[in-house]
Amino acid sequence: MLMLFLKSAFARCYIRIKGGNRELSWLIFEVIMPLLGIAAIVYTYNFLGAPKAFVGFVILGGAMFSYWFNVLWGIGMNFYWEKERGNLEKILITPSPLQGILLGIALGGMFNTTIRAVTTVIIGIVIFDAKFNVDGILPAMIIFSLTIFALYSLGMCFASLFLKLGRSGWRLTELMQEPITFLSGQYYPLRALPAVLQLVASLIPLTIGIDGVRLSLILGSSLTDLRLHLMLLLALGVSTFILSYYILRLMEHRGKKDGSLTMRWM
Amino acid sequence: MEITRLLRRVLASIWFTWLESSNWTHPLVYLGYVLVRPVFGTLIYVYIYLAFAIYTNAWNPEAALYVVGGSALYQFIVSGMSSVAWVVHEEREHYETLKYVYISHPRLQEYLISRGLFGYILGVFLMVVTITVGSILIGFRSFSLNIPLILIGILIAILWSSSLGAIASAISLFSSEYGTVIAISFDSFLMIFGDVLFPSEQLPSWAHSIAVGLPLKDWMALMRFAIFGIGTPDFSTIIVYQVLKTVIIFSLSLVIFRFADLLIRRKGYIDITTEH
Repeated sequence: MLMLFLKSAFARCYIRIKGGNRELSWLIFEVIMPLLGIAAIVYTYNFLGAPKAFVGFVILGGAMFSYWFNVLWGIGMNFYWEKERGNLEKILITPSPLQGILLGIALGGMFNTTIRAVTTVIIGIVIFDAKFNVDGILPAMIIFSLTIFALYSLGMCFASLFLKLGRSGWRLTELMQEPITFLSGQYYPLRALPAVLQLVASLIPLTIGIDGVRLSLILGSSLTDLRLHLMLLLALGVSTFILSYYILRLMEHRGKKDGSLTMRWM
Repeated sequence: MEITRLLRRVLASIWFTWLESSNWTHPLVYLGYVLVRPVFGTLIYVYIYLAFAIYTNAWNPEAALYVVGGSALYQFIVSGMSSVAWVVHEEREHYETLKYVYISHPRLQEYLISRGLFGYILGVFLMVVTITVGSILIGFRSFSLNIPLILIGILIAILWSSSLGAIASAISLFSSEYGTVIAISFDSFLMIFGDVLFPSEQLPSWAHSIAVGLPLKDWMALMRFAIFGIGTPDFSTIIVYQVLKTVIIFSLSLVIFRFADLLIRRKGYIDITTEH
């Protein structure tokens, strides 16, 4: 059973990596598009007369936010798209466990987005001359890895939910862009938000991740300074990972019961 | 007679767009749904300004109004232009209905622009809401509304931006895979080069020249003056430029769309899907 789970995950991961990178023009577009958004905000800060440190804040926030887009559209909406294309019924009649397939989608998505995010950061550094603290790379990597684990676990929960919600899930996905951009502090330090909003924002792994990576790479915080970030990310990651398993089982069961698993355009 | 039929087609397209975008929920929920993204978008720009002001202790209300007001005005353009630009992708790839539209409607470009009109109606509403929210948050109270100028600005913007949307649609007729990217690229392009969040003088000189050639830069100056009383533009010259640029873009869109139409019929791309 475990072998089948791992094989399914590997197979789906392979398709995602192969499919996501077979077309060079896709890669170029997916790097340029976030860069345009980042550039607009960098120029806005220049116009306001902000210090140079804000450039680094914006570039890191923009690069990390691309994972959120991937989680929402690449992972969360995946089963819905498969249903729309008529592939889900084919997947369901194979012996492959859905959880394994979902894990493969998440791992492939992580890999593809990492290539794009790293390229965005490198180009951002070259074009906008952003400065980062080299000593902060190790703590930043640890925070980043935990953020990705928590984010993609959350994405696996979304995948099951959106499969059931159908078109409403699609709208919900759209609604989770600007509000999360606002709460995650993608373009500004989180401390600019009121305390209540900071508290709400701390339930989103991306917010904690962006803040932690910025603190280490820009302000030079050590792992000890970031222990609260680490604990929160670990707790969110483990809980959403376990939750995703049960939500998927529940939604699959419900979908089979009410016959909505293969219903298109709904 | 022909005008009556045209108006009936336009109204039917607007009504159809409303149904297609809202029939998944109750109209009040839909209203909340369309408001969430622009309002949070405005909040993002307000907090960009606040973050700068808090950290540097340098308050600049004029710059705040420039950023927040620009983002609110941009809502109108994007709402309308996107409504035109996304139709080809959605109707060909997702709903697979473009071929039926193609054989039943007399002109595809007219259909696409009519579909976009719902986006402009929505855009006016979003613009008003986001200007109100943004102004409250940054403490701006002294509006100097020049209603005739605002109406002229809105009318001209509908013409040039829906023509730009039609150009985006014409390009996306050739590509199923890049339909979404083409639509988003046009929005991002205008965001950078359109004096939306910052004056284009901030950009490198080559990029600034592009901004000068686009109609959005002038339009932003006109609307900022007409709504907020910012700047003292020579608005009669701006209107002349706006009309000229609109005529050029509209003519270009007719030529490009006609060419695209001929070519996709020849290549058989009308109903091509790539399952993206």
